[in-house]
Amino acid sequence: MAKVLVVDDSKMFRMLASAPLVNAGYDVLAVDPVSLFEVLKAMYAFSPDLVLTDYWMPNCNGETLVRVIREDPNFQNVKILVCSSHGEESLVEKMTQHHVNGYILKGGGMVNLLARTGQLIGPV
Amino acid sequence: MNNSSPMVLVVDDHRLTAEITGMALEASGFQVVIEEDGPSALARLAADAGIRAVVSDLNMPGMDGLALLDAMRGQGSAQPFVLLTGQEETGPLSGHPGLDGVLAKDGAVEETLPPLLWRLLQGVARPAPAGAGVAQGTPGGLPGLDLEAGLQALGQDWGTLKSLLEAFREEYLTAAADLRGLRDSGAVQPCLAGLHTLKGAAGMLGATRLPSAIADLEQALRDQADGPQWDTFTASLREVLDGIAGI
Repeated sequence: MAKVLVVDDSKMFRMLASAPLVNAGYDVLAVDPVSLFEVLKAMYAFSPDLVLTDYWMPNCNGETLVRVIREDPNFQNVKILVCSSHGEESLVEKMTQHHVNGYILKGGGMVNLLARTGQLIGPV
Repeated sequence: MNNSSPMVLVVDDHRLTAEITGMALEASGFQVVIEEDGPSALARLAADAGIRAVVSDLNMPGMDGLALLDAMRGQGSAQPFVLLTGQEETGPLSGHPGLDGVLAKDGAVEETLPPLLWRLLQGVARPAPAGAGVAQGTPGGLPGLDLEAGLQALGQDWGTLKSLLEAFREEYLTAAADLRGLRDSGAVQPCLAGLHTLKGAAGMLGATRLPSAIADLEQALRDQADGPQWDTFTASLREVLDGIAGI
């Protein structure tokens, strides 16, 4: 079963993102990014196929998280999907430079999240 | 979205940005086609009579957005045309002949662009979402919420969607007063952070008017010119919360 790690400081968003993924049959772990260390601990313990992460998080910078994952050989096959309320061109370009696999807007809703997840790691 | 959804042509030399813009439009009920330069956009307009509006980046190599607009009007294409700009001032551009709207390409554009296009296309009925009203036990619809999108994402599982709606209501029941209190006490940054989090959750839940009301308020707060945006935000949030309370 494909595994998705959901990283967002909003508990409500973690619920809203996890529900359609669980319903579709993905194995989902949602973490509160209280620190970069806690997220990386979850990465090693859960070994996700996809990390769905916010960008602006008060205690865990999304850009740093993406860079650390990309630099870790243990996670070279992990897909990264950034889900943010921000759609600025500069931000999208910056994330592209970090080789994220996708960038979606929270305003696109659960349907879009599910569709992009399926594109990246396949439907369950 | 279905075949009756109005089709919008998005023109941007940066493909990923065009796709982000397109996603925001599709989430609001439009169909979207993308071209990456002015000449291709003109060719598409000439070939496809189904395009109802054009959204174009200003700065593109070769033919920029205004040159595209002029060429488009020159070839007899009369569709509404909205220009997206980078960091430039939007004011001086707004008087350009044939231009129907100018928006700064910032974090709010995905919330402000769809309602602007719907206004420009007044008279075009917004399509009902696919599969509307099929799940048993669901209310016919809730004001300010696209329930059908949520049901589609959850495999028509109304019980789960109901739980999410109720959790949202519980989480944000006092948010309008709480956030206003922060602002009135001078804590503008915490207020903005709270609004941003609420905007993300509301968008994911399928709120239709609330995200754009929050985006307007965020911009007004950043400009230190907030006023009536609070009333619109409060009413939009109240609309969603009251609708959920009735399920």
